[in-house]
Amino acid sequence: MVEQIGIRDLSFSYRKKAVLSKVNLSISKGEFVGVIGPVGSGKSTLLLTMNGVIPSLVSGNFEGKIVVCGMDTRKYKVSELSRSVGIVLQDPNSQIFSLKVRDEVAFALENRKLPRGEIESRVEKYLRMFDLLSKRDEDPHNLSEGQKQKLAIASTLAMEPELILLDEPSSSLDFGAATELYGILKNLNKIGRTIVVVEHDTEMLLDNADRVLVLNDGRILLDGPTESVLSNPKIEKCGLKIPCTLKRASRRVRG
Amino acid sequence: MIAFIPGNSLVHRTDARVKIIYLVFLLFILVTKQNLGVLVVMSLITLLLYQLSGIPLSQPCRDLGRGWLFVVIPILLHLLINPQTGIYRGIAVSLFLLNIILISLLDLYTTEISSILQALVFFKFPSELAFTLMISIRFLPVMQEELNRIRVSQALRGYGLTPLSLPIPLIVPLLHSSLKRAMELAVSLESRGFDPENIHVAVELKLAAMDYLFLLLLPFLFSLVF
Repeated sequence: MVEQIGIRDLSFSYRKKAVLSKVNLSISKGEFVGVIGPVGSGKSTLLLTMNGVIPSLVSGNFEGKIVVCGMDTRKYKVSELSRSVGIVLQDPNSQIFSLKVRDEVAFALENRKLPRGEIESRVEKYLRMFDLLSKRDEDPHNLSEGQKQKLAIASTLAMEPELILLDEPSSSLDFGAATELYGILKNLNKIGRTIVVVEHDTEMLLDNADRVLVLNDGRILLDGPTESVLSNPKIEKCGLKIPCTLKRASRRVRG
Repeated sequence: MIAFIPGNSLVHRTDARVKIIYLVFLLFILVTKQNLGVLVVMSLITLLLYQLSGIPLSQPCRDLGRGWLFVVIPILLHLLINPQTGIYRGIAVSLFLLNIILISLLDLYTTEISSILQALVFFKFPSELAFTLMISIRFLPVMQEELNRIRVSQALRGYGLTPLSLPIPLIVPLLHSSLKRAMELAVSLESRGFDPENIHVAVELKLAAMDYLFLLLLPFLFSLVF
């Protein structure tokens, strides 16, 4: 399998506070990886290192090496890495800035200098995918929180990156919309896109991810196939929840 | 909220570049011809432009809120300094400020921010600066909303703003959230391929016959005033 993300001895600290310590990780092309961990365990920081925002835009003490899609993140600008890596941040209100829904989706495509026709067809495709086509001329500021989240995701997916990073994408979505979003991600994964998603909803990961990492205090505590990681009692010690389905199944086996 | 108000008036339809040229022209008149007569004529022109645009004057009144105090303060100051003739000077300064504010706001009410950005880039305004300006204007309503939210949450904890108290419980959270939002926005923009040194504007502005007419009219107006 082709390695898409290679992290070697990564340590990162903001001022004197260590956030990540000696992280080693390899993610292959086409994997669907979930990252879970308690608050402050370094999940979002790990995600930001994968698209070069750390160390390019966020200052701190960075050690180690990260190669993403064949590019050393220290040697490329974030805008250059964005051709292969797309990221959706947790708060859509901090990402959306355009006056019209369609302009927000077109923004990244305009930066890539794609032909006008291509931009318009992709805008339509991704707005339809997230059920936002009827809102295309509206001010994103007037959308509901869930719709804003969908718009932020559509805006990143429209770039059609090889690697998609998402930081708690279902946090402002209801169950139906979250299931729909994971369905879209799963379809993208089937056509070869690599997905790394930071998520607190372990049930959602159980249904969709191939592999799960558990971060605790900036270190990888567990890494393996979804079911075996999510049924490990160690995750409850970190304040995380074993999915009900797995709990029930283990009770049945014991009973 | 200070933001674009969609419409189909003559002012709305005028090209963003022509509007910026006229904005600079009107501001130039205001700065160079500071006598009460010119200021009164300029005020009438401003009112006429608002009438043409279909934007009610109550809009800037609402948007500026207590900011209008800065227009009234010069009259009071001049009255205190020179009670005999100060009133005229005070009114002149107030009209000057009033016109600058109203004309600039009208440009924002009737022009889409993306068009303002394109116009600024057309005039060789540094693209980083133009984009920063655009983002700042875009986030004004967001910050206004944020401030209202903070005001309500502080009021729920018993905080009331009095004229003599420093609004620190409002400013600190607003500053904190604005800085956080600015940082996250920068991350999001760069992650979507934005390069401040190489801004690409996809849609180009096109001058209509009416815009050419306004541009031809400008030298005539210039010779009339100066």
